[in-house]
Amino acid sequence: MKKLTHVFLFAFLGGLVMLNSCEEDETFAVPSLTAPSETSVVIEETVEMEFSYTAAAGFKSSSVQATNGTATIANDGTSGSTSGTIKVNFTAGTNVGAGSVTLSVTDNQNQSYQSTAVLTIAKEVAVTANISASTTWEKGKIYVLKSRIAVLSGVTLTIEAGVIVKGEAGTGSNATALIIARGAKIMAEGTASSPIIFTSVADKIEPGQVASPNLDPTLNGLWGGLIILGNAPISVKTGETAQIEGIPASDQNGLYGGANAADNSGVIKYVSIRHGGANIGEGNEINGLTLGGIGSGTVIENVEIVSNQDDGIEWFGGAVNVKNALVWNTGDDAIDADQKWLGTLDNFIVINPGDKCFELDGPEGAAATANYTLKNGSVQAKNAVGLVDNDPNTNVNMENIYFFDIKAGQTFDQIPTDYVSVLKNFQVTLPAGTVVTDFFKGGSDAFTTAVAANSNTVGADKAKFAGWSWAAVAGALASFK
Amino acid sequence: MRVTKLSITLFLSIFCSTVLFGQNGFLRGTVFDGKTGEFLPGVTIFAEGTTTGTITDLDGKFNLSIVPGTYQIRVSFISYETINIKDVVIEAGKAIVLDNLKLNEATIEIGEAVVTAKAIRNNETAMQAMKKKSVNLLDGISSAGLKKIGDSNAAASMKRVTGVSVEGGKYVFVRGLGDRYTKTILNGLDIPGLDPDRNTLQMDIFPTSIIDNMVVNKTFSADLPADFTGGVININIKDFPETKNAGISMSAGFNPKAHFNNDYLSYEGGKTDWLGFDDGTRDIPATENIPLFSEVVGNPTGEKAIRYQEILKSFNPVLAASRQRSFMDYSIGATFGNQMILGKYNLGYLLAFSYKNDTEFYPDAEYGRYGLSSELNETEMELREIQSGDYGVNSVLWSGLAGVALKSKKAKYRINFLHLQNGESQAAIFDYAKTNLGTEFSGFQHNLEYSQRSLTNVLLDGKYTWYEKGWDIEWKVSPTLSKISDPDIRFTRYGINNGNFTIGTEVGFPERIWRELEEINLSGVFHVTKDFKMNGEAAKLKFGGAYAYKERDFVIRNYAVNLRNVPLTGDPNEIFRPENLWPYNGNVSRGTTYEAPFIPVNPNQFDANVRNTAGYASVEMSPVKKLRAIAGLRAENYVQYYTGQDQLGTKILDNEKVLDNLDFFPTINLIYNLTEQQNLRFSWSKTIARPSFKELSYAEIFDPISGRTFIGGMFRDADDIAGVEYWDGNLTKTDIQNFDVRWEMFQTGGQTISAGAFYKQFKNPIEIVQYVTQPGSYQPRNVGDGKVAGVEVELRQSLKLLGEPLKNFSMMVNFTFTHSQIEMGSAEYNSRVENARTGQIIDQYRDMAGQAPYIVNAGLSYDGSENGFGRGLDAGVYYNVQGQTLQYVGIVDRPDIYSVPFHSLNINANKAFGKKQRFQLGLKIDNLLNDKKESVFKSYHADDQFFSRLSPGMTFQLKVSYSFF
Repeated sequence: MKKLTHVFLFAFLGGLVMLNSCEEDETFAVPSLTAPSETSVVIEETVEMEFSYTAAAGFKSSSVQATNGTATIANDGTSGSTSGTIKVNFTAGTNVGAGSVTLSVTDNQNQSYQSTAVLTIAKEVAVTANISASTTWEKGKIYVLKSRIAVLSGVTLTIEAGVIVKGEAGTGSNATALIIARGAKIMAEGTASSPIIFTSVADKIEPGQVASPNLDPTLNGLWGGLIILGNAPISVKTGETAQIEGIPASDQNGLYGGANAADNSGVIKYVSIRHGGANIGEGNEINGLTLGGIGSGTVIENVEIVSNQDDGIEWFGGAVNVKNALVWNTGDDAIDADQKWLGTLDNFIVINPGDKCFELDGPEGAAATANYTLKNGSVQAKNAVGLVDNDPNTNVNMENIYFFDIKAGQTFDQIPTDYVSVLKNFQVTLPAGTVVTDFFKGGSDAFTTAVAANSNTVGADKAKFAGWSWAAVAGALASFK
Repeated sequence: MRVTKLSITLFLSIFCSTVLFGQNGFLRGTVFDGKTGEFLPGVTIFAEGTTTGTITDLDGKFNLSIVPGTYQIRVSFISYETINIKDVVIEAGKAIVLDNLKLNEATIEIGEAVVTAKAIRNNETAMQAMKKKSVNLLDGISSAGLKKIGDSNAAASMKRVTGVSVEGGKYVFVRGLGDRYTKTILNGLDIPGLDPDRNTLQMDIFPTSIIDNMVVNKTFSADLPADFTGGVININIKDFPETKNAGISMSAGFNPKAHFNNDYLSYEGGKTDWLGFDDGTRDIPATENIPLFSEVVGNPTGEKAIRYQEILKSFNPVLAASRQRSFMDYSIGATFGNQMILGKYNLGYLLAFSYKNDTEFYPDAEYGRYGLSSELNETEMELREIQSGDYGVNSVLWSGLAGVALKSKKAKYRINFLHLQNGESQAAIFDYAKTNLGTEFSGFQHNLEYSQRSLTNVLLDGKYTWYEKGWDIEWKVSPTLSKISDPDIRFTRYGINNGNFTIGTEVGFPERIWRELEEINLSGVFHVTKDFKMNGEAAKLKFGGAYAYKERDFVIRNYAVNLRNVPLTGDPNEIFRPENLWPYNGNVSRGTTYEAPFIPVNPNQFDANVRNTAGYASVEMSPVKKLRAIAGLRAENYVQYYTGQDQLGTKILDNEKVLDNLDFFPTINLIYNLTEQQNLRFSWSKTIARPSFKELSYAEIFDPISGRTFIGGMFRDADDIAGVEYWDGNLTKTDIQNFDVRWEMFQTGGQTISAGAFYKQFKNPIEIVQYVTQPGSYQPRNVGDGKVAGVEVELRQSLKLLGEPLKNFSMMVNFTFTHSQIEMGSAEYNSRVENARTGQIIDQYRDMAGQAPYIVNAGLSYDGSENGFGRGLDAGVYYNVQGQTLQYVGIVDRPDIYSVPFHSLNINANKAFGKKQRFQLGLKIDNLLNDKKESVFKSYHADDQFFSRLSPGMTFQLKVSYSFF
């Protein structure tokens, strides 16, 4: 019995020793993992996350799981190592909100540890620097212009249908804007069902919406605008290039004008530009759509400008044609042309500009060899200061234009004299007790006919704006025929 | 310890001086060397028949305490002629001053001159002697001269000096060269400028009452800073009073047009405006945590929106100028100073204070902008923009000066405190019309501005002499703090259309601007002089060093005010009325809102600093008889650092070196004594002009009032696509070669005739150039080489030669004629060619900007007679005009702008009354010709058109002063 006791005692002691030695094995700490600090990622985009681990017993393996996206291990830990990093690629899904990546590591003693990194998945892609390599902006995402962004010469920016571009807050030299510099191209081909929208960060509009859920169509000056610059000829006092309004002279991406009348700056289709025109300073403004020296190779069709603090569309020379344009609630003029533009604007609607409906100038330097043409338009003057402001040297032809909702003081001021202007087929619906010559001065009554409301036989085809323009969706075209 | 004891004694003595030294009287004065014009130390001053005597100290000054009585004073120095001054009457407790005693070197027939005290009293001769004997070409004006002319500030007085012109009452040009080429120093040391747009100091902030003298050096010598070309103006502040003096003065000025006028324009300021600074009334509502409108309109109840409204409410709501009755000009001043003997030391102290409040009113002021027609055969200029209306200015300027100097025979220490404070409030209402490239509207505007400037300077200097061994050492250290701030410049313009008021992009949005500049400056110099003999003639070796550190912080913050659908009545005060602030009636799309263009990146902000270390050596000698020559060499290492960034943040500089030049400046000055009274001078030197802090920067500063944008010189101007570079962004220094010759003749009593010529060559001069691609933007650039040549004639003559009755009259006339030319840059030349009118020929050269073609000064003065009414009376009539000067260089369709000559004719008379002449009455009439201040656009075969037109009117000023001792 005593022997047995001894045996037991020995066994106990042996066990104790073994236990002790076992305890020595277990001095290896469990592995640890440090997750990266909060990461943000844009939907459908991939982000690399770096975890760091320690594994006293030696690294054996790792595994990863994700929510709201997929995760793969891109660069695993080193076998047997006691510390290191593991790189995980997370590809976000299509849902906006939170996502997570859970990584677990196992050591050579099969002890495991896991850690979860949280991600923010957003639709907004911040654009912080000039675009120097060809880029595509993808449908479903919102691109936020963090400053004045230029697409540099030789580079193409493709914007898919349905993309929303938002300008960050800022005025003066901090005004945000998208500049397509000379030699660069924009391929912004929206569709009638999926237009491309340029607006302010204040706008809570989501991809798929046309009308802003929170901003009035009268709010302006919340960001800059879309500025497209090309190499087509312009007529300025000195030289053949100039610096565009709103861009400091120190930034040469603001230069426009050249010798190539057929220059191609890309395609603009089904694009709506809103709430822009941030204040730069007196006489130095950003228009909704600025077209500086744009050549005839460029396609611009179906554009809408809503509530720009300065002009709606302004042409500075160039030869580009524009089809189906709508300008609603600008702070200054609706349609503005300068520096010997030589293209045609066909089928357009103007609603309620802050200053003139048409501010039409001619060349500033070299004389014009041809006229630009404005045709098939309907104008609801409403609170405008004037109807048509011509200069003696304006090189313009105008035909088939209908004016209504006009009031005292609004005039067609003069017929240009330096060039032969073809002006014909104007119609107007007059306020009660007025005559055509109260509004159409300088002989312009000769080609203007008074018609009853909605009885016009000339003007725009508003059907071209249905569905994709905010004005149509908001019912602002109801009084147009 | 000793210093403490000394200062206690000092203060006790100040208060007990009359008691302690009551019985004795004082004899004080200065002695200078008739040969060199320099003050002589170690000269013995002895009262004959007594045992009382002293020697002159290192400034050539003496102070002898002596029992009252009548003495003959003997002034003697080894190897110099002795002078005896008879009948010097010393009264108990009074000081008699014998200034500017001239000792001539002894010739073979040693004689002793005996003269009367009266015969040697003439204050202007000190300046004359300095002019005559200085190896440098210099001109100047002494405190006696300042008093006679009666100008109230340094800028006004400076235009009396040959070849000096003053722009805008503030900026002083020498020989018609632009302000870039003129330098102003205080007590011989660099001081900060007070205008971020200028290289030179605004001189109107120095009241003449604190100035001892002003000297203009027109030629360079190695001991002067090298960055000047036209001249360096040294303002010496008063230090050591000759006699116990205490005085008060008061003046009142009346301008029939500006004063007691009910139409005067002003606006409500702060409670301390009368002290020359703002009390916080014009504080900026926020410099940080500023939400922008686009950040709040989408979330109008959020935290940012609350902050937004808080900022909106804290704007001062006054935007309108208001008409109110104006007051007249007035000023008061007081000085107190004395000197006393403290053992072996002489102690002097001076306290001075002055206050001035001026009101100007310019009814029917006009500012225009004209352009060239696009039709090249149309020569007349087209009106583009015009502002016309009334404009009122109230300016407060005060200064305080406190100085103590302690002297022994061989050492002198001085400490001086100076503070200048200036506040200027302006209000204007203008009618406005614009007709430019399709933009056509008319309306009106209200401008409210406030500008405050201050300068605080401490000067510490020490001087030692060992005249027996010919050594002199002098050192100076001077820190200066200067600040300029334009708090809350308010600009509101309305357009009027069919009777409706509008504010929009075309008219321009209201702006509120805060501009701040702070500059710290630390300068120090030391000079060592050794007199010795070379070929038996006096010679002098001078060497020394200088160090200057300047640091400038500059920021402009502006808020643009946007009126979103607010009903307007035409009263600018409606804009910030609580009911009009965003959100108007709860509508988030309406109301007065602000924009902060300086958020997040402010391109109108930079810090810069500069270190300039200099060393020099020069030798003055007579290589042959009658010829004195001074040859010197100065080296300056100028290193400028810049912190700032361009607007896009693509170029960020953090205290980076932007300029590092080591330059050598050789100089030779020769003076040949044709006769004892006639000199012929020649001078050659190399000097430099450097870009200013603002010019060598990435700043982009938009001025909403002029509509111009300044673009820092570090930006490139290029069209890389077209492969053209107009400007490479490497703004650098300008090197200048200067040549001068002058003949001059001096006669007794300060009479002078002189005639001279100069020629200057500029390599890489900096000019402000307009961008061709954006005509409203300007940039400083090095342009083609420039040249300036000129002649100067000066005559100062007593009219005694016309007959005895005119013996107390004298006349002064000086005339400077210059021709300047600069080679145009290609951008400017091409634009001029393309815009040339039919038949106009464009030259490759044009005038240098700021260079006056001629300057004329003339004066006739009556200098008082021995007795009768003429006793204590001095009076004068002074005339000044500056030729038509190119102010702004035109480009493209913008014509050149020239200033129109302003014919300034002033009268000044002072009369002292009473037995001791303690009471003084002065009368001054400014702008007797009632001339207008005008600038015009000029173009080929076109009528001149106004750029600006102001009519200051005539001002009558009456001044009374009383001196207690």
